[in-house]
Amino acid sequence: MKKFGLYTIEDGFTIKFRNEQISLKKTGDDSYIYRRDHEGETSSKTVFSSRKGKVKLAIYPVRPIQMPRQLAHNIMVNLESPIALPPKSSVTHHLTMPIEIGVFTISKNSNYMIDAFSLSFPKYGLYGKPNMGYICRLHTSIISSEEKAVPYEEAEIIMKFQNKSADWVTVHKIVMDAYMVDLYLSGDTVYLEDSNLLIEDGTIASLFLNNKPPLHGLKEVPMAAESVKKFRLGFLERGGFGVEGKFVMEHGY
Amino acid sequence: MNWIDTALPGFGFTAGQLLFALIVIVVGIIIGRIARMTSGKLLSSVMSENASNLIQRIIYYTTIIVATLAALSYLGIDFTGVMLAGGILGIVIGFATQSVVANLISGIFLQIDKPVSIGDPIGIIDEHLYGVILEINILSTSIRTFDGVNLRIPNEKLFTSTIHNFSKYVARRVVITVGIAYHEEMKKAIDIILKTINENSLVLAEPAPLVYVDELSDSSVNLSIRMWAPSSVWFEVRTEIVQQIKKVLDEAGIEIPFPQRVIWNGKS
Repeated sequence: MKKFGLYTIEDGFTIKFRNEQISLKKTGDDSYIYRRDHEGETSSKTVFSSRKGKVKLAIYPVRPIQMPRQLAHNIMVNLESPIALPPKSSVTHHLTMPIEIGVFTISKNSNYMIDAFSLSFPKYGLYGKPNMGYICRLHTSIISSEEKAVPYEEAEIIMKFQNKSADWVTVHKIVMDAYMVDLYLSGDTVYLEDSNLLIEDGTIASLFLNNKPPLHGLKEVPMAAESVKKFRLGFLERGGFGVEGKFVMEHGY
Repeated sequence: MNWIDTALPGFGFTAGQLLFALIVIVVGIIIGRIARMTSGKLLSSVMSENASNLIQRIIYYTTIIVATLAALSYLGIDFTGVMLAGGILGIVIGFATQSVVANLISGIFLQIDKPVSIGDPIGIIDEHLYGVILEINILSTSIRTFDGVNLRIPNEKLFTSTIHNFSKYVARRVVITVGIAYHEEMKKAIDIILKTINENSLVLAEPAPLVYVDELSDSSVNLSIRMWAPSSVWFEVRTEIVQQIKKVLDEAGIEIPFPQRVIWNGKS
């Protein structure tokens, strides 16, 4: 049964994502309590108005930047085994990246993220040095020739690796700025936008996110901007980084 | 003879000379305004609005004063007496405003050098002061100390002090020392502590945490625990981890000994 999508707000609504159960309970004429329970314990609770049925509930995958804390907007994907690329070659591999699940209230003119949660245990890592590096959400990815993403926990990356240098290179990790990342859906399977990692010399790799779906027939995840807006409000770090549409991996790959 | 060459009665200069002197002053004002606008544009990117405004004013009035003195000098007004009095007055004012000027100059350098920014949690080591920067003014800096007191520190003192800026870098290392009893199994304690650290989401997995035997001290085997955390949650991570380590060591029955001394009785 497909879980991502739009839902009508009604008393007694429940949906389960592994150990996380979302429920709605009517508390007044037009008021509802949103509740998320994790193994019997309430993790999140919000009261909102349905505006006489005009507001809907939406559940969609979001960038992994909300949990456990809005600490970093960078994602570091460590490859389970490194990829060695011969000179002047290119190859496409399937990888995975973490996602979170966002819950939104949707009305005609405005959307609001009321909750976000992750089915995986989030860990962070430092990419670069403490004085000039970036805190990143960490993820270890398998490398495969077919889709391997864990449902509701990971998104599929179909990435083209291009080595334009005259030497062999080895790729160990991929770092991306989640602000730039677009997600696409096919049923409940989540995909990262079309992407390619370009190595022009032996020291620097550039990751390009190409603002289009990696496969035909995929639909862009709506409300992606809401999760970034929410993150920016709660973001504790100062400053940002990255060039629009491209992330230069200056600390190695 | 036209009116330009007419000597003004009671003054030692002509109307033409007076007109020229007035033109010099007006040109001085215009140059001052241009210099103020140009410096404003240049300085706004490197320093705060307050500091930039102050420097602009100094440039503007200095230009006008120089133009006025040049004009008056052209009219033949003798400044020897004024200069002498001004020199003495300058020395007096200089002594009186020594600290003000020092703070002013330090304020300008604070804006240029930027060792701290508004919102930075800092420690002024020489003064034993810790807090968050609220405002950097031209003479002083406001700090909210961690115990919630507003503190105004003269810029000279801040600029010449050793400052720890706790948020300049994205990550900080947490170091904790835990002593376990000599009879405990070190490897078991290290494994338990590492597992606890790795189960905390906010402890960075890279660089990897490290737990090792650091010292065989008088009463205990001291384990050094080193881990990195995002600077913004450093204190939270430290407090959480210390508490968690005590709990898991207690649960595992590993003793954290008190300082102890073994006294041998001479008689067997």
